[in-house]
Amino acid sequence: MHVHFHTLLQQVTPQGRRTHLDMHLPAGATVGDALARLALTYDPEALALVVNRREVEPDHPLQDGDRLDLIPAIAGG
Amino acid sequence: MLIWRINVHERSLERTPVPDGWKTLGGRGLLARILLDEVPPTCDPLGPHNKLIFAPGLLVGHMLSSCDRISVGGKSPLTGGIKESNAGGSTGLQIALLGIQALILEGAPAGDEWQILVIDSSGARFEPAGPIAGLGVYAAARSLRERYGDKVAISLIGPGGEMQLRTAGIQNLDKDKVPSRINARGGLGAVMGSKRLKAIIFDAAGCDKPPIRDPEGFKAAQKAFTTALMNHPQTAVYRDFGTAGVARLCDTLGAIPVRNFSVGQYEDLESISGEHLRQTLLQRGGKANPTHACMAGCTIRCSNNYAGENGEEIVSPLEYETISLMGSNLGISDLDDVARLNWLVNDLGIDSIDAGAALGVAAEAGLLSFGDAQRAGELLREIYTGSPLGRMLGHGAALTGQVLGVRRVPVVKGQAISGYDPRAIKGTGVTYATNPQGADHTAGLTIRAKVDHLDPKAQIDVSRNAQINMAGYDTLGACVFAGFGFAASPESIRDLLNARYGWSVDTGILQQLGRATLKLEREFNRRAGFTAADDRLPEWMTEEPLAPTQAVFDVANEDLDGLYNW
Repeated sequence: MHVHFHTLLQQVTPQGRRTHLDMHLPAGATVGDALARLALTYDPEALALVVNRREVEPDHPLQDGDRLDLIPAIAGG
Repeated sequence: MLIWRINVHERSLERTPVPDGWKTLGGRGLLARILLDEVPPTCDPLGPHNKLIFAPGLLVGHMLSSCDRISVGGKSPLTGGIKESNAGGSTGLQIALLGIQALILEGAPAGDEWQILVIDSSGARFEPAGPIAGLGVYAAARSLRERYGDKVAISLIGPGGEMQLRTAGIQNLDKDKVPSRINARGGLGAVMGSKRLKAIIFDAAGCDKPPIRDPEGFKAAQKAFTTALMNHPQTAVYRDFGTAGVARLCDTLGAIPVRNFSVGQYEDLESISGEHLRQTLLQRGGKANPTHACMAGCTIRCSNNYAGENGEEIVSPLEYETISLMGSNLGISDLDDVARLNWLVNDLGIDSIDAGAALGVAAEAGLLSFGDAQRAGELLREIYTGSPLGRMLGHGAALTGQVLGVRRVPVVKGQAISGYDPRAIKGTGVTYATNPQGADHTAGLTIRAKVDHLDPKAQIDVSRNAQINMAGYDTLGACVFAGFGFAASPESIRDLLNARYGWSVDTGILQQLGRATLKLEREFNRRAGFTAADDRLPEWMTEEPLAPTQAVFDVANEDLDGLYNW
């Protein structure tokens, strides 16, 4: 699966901004499992979780090839 | 606080106590009440019976973070209905310091000469605009500051307002004296132009802050609110990335407008993203600044100063709505190009959302190629000349679509849809359709709601709540982003109002104000001739699937019609 980071979660490194990464999770893993693996310092309660363009809850199951977007709280422009 | 009523024909000023029915209102809510009480809903928006009203919100005047906004209203020449448009900058604070609860400009001018209206503690006077008439907003603001000094607030119009174009706005100085805080939507600049006012000067020298009945209570509530705002996770996102941080979210949801709302995902998203904008500004240095406050005392600071490679400022701010409508919506991927187009529409004094949508429609008709920023600039410059082509574009997307025979025109009630395609964020589509203001994301954006944005059955309640809350915040004079501080500390609204005015309201006051405002606005529109048929998205959005979600707008009409049954 592919994890895409938004705004504050994008780390700037000498090689550039880290916008996304690929992750391998066991069958039956959920969005919450992916978050645990990433061990983000950002409050997960303040994240919008979007899988394949739909907003989901942490217990949403993930499939091979899914795209997970992790979006720090933002309410529009 | 008083009502100041100025007749532009007589050049007279009348200062009166606030009528009982208006006393508990401010900002958008007060505008709705006055318009319903005093303006014939079927009148010509650019004629003598329409009024242009400035009203600071209930909490304006105390440098409370993000709460000094100025609401301006009248009957809209763009929608034909009620219109409120609010802006940051310094006008709200100065008008509140002058003790003005509402400034009502009425009548039709006796002559054609452009005037400057100067308001200070001694009263109001008209002065000939002279050579300032005809100038673009930036040059006009410079001349006005030379004439009236740097301590005044200024509301002014550009060539778009002078030509009474339907997308003309009213521009206000930010805290750094840049005239880019705009009452942008719905053509209120044209209404100001119809009164032959190039600018209004607000000089609060010698005035005190509005009185506070319980200063200690106000101070405690202010601290609670500010702490909640500072600690809220959204504050850091807006501080670092500004509203441009929304671009990636909209792209993720398949809702960013691309090439005249034909697609919801942009192949060059990275180059117009908020993350790219921040990195670019940090690298460029000079006058580039990714974090900037439009109002004194704002702790969020979501604005920015966009500078070119030489470090010289191109425009301030560069925001998501402009990035989407004049960037991806036109197939333009270079933020420098978008910033230059943004400067042009600011100087013309027209709404960047409606101008971007009009150019998108024009591109679909073949007047320019998508991606051709140079041609987009040439077309905007036509507006300075007053050519038929320029006037068509300056009247907005709706008229442009009618003239050019384009069916894919993104408007509701004649006003352009902002940077959230309603097929992929359907709750915001409900807001666009049903709000009395016409398509306007600031009337009730639902992008942050914990909901499947593609589910047509989940959107009515979400939109209704957002619309009520926003009408409430607009009545307080609070920025939409102050809303997340208030949401985290809901008792602070009650406490601030009770301390400021000596009231005894409860925590439901925000929704009470919001519901009352929407009810008044809807009634104005009903009397102006609006029906359920006006509470609809463009038909093509219910039929044309939006890639990549392949969504159409399919919220049932009966659900839309029931939104106001609360």
